[in-house]
Amino acid sequence: MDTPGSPPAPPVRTAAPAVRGAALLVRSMRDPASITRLDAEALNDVLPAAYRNRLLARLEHDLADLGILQGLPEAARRQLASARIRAHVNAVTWRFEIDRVRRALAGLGIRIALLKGTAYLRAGLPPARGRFSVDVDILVPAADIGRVEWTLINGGWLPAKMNAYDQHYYRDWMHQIPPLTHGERGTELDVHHTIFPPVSGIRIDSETLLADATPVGDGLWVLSPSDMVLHAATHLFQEDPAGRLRDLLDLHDLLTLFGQQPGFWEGLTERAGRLGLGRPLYYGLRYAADLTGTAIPAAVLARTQAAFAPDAVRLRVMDWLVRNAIVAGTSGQGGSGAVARFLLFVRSHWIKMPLGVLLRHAVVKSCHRMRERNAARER
Amino acid sequence: MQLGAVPESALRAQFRAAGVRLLLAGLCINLRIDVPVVIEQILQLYGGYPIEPGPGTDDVRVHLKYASPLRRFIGRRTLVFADGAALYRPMPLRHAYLMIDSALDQCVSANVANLVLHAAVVERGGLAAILPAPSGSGKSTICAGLVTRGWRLLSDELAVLRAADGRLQPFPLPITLKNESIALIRQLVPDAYISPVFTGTIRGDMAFLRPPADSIARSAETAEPALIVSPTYQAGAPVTLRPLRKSETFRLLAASGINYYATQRFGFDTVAGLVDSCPAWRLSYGTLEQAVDAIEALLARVRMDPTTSRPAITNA
Repeated sequence: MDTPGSPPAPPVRTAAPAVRGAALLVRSMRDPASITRLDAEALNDVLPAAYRNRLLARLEHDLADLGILQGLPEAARRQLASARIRAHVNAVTWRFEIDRVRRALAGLGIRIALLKGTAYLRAGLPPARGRFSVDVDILVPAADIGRVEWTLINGGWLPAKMNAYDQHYYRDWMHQIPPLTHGERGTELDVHHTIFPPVSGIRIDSETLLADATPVGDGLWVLSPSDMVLHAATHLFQEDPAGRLRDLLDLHDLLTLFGQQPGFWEGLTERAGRLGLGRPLYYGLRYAADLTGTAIPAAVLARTQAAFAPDAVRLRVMDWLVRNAIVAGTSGQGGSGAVARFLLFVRSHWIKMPLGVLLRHAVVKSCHRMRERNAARER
Repeated sequence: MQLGAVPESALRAQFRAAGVRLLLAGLCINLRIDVPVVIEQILQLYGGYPIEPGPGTDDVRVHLKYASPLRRFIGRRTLVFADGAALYRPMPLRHAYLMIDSALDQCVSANVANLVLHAAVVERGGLAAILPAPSGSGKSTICAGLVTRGWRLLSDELAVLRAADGRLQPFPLPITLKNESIALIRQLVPDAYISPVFTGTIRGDMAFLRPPADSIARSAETAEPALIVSPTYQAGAPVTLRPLRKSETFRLLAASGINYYATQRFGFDTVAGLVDSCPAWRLSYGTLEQAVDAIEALLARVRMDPTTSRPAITNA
């Protein structure tokens, strides 16, 4: 996966096994061939790290493509083979679920775009390899959201049981309605009417996204290359990027694939500016280049930096946060990774909500949590 | 190499540092334990198990820890991790051993290179009996009863069928005894080692019977599935045996498959192979002795056909 001329992998420092595993994992995902040079102890760090980050099957896929699985110890091969089978079952499950959603909504005559994992799966894009999905994500025209929800509920999906506050949180502030769960199969479905929370002040019209979408057959669509990249970057850096190496690798794959199309980079930066997603795009490009070695033209990096980067101090803080959260955060342990994860969690809300809304949200959520805890204690 | 061959002091240190690498169900499971009392329980129960003394790549790493630094001293609770992910909610220290037992089961079931059924497995004369049944049907007790009559224990909980050849891979963890069966088995085999009783668990009282040395020594030796018996306990009921139709057997095995869906085509083919090759019965019983007698009588009727190398039933 390493491209010539990309910056070298960050050095692996000695640390606690889990943290060491995380740093090794980043390196192994960039350069899968490097895994064959690891000793037994290092494999014992990196394979569990890959498992926890749901990357084991992707690693297996890349190793099989390179034809170097045979060079690994038997126990490593068994784990990788097991992950491949589980990922295959996962893909079969979600292909089926995508089709059920398609059938349920076919009568509405509206454009339905798959998002994230299920989009990669349906469109056969590189991030789909060895991927474990947990839900179907769709984008529908904002004007039709009520009809879509009603049709799905009639078709066997159940709305999540939620208190009035959480309902209000989703309905009035978020970019999606409360998650639906299929009554028989228990699978989750997220219905979006845009890709970024409107409460933030950034309003992205679903029609704009859907008008540019690419058909993938059977009346289903996926976002255009630019919008898909912007959504992946937004998802990673405006939400909580903690321990999301997988999502960063998605971005890496998409940029590597689409980056070869003529005019892609110009279109991407222009679109980001127009949608108000310049900052997440800048972060996406910066950290993809830095952590996963994505080949991004220097001129594009310079241009997005000039147009969308924050001031130098904020950028240094963000660098520290992201490196710690993504690299160390993959370890699932405490330490700087945990601190960075917490700060990024706070930040994700800070970006989404105006200060007044955020403070109210924090107070309400803490009260709810306390009440739940008390109720649990009394039970 | 056997775990018991390493000096206890060295084992205690190894459990707390790099972990001990157990060879179970065709996997190498690294077991690390921070809790001294659990190390002592493991030393009592696991002495005969094969280990890999040198370093190497593990299939999975199980680690029993205190739930937090505070929980080491006050309101003592433990957590068990498999490959760094916590498996269950924290449990009181006195039940920590149960977490290891469940974690090992879970690790073996998670590996989809084997089809894993919720069933006890015992073997005699090269013929293995699979006893699929839900919890509470008495399969562990029957298993203990058969083992005390000289059958080899493969597992009281999980039938592990290898992808390559459909043979049964032993996974002879200590036999779980619950509630009344603890006293029953103690009476039946007064010489066997049974762990102290864990009281007040979600399944009542629990204790663990150390399997016979022979079963543990042969834990790398696979066995051919020969018959299937699904037991149901009914207090005071007479013993009845009913042959199962192939369709019933299929449903029974697929429903007891812990990773049946995850193993896809191979899981289906393996279950289909079992249905075709193994005669199957449903057994209702009221006493342990009845059940054990009935299964021994069934085994006596099963012969391995030399031409088809499949088990065949003879009319007794």
